[in-house]
Amino acid sequence: MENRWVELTVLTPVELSELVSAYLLGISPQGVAVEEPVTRDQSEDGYRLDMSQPQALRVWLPIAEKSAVLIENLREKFVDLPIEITVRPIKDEDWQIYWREFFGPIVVGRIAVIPSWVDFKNEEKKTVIRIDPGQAFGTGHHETTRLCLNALSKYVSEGQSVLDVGTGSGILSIAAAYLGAGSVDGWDIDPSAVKIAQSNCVVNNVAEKITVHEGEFKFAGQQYDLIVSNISAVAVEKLVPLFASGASKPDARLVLSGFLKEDIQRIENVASSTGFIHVESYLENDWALISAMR
Amino acid sequence: MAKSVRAVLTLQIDAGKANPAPPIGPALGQHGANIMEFCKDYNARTQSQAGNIIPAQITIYEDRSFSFILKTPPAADLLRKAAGIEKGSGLQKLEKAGSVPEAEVRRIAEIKMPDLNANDIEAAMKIIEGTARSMGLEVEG
Repeated sequence: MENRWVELTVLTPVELSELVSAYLLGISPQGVAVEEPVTRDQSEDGYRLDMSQPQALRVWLPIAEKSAVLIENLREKFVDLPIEITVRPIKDEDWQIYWREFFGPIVVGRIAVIPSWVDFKNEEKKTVIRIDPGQAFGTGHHETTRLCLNALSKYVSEGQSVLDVGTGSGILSIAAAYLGAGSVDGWDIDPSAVKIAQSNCVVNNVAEKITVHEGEFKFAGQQYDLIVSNISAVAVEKLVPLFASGASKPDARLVLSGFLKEDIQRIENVASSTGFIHVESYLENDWALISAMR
Repeated sequence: MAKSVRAVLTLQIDAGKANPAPPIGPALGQHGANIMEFCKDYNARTQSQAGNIIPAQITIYEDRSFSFILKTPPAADLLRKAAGIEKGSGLQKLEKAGSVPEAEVRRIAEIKMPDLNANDIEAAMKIIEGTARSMGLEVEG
């Protein structure tokens, strides 16, 4: 199902920007985008912000809302000001499709992650995962996804049971299944991620090994050999005690990521308070992954 | 040689709550930047400031890579909180929405100082007062 939006652009002199953005935040509480005027030059960065030029303030309003009335009010309110208002309808798939153009294959260890719309010649005999990320996390382009794929390549062995909390596009569950896991349970709180993950499992012919659950992870008696969770520091911190109290076999391994290297200590603390010892960590740019065992 | 710049965007969005819906989806998607990657980075860097609008100024390069820095919250959002006005209400009418004490204007001017084009705190306060008036807020004291 496609959603239609109205894109409202207000071309505003810099000195009126705070005022106009205050108004726009009133009609679009989820946020305002400001396109800054840029002049290319010979400086180290190759450009500078040119505040003598107007800024383009942009919001997107669902057509179902009274966007016509809101826009009319905006015109009336600012009738005396030197601003320029333009409106155009867009579909939400427009920006997703545009983004696809720049989304290429990623190779991590034994695994190649290929968007479903890209042709790929598998000359190096990689394990190929086909991913359509839609609006779910996990494309292989993020440092933490790559860290997790590397860790799974290293740790998953034949027949293991795997839990993947915050599965997003399903990329890590699918990788675990390809790497030999006997069964995988994926969880995500976002219903659209669950749908995307399920369809990615089907596309990759691993749907019989993977069950994707919707909602907050709940312990339901099943114990796992390997638990992977790539979400955020806050989420992982909350989940580790749940993993420790029942969901993990005595010799289970936790693979935790989604946080910055400055948050490692925080995650290590919660792991050790629940009986796990941090055994390995990996970094890519500012991002971290830690692996822990009892 | 610096990478060639495609666009510089400032997104005024809620700390820790970035998602691919508007404004982030279309604002970044139109320039071919990886929406999900930005959301994850932004949320990780702003998770401790939940409840505030923390603008991100994003530089998108011609190769579609990007980097971003965080800015101070918009004056309007700080004023709205200082005056006890709920988000998404009151601002549309912009008439007699409430009032803010001068001390609050000074406090907000101090927070905003790094991002304002002002030489001293008095000049910064004038800018904040102007925003307050335009929002229908009276400055008291």
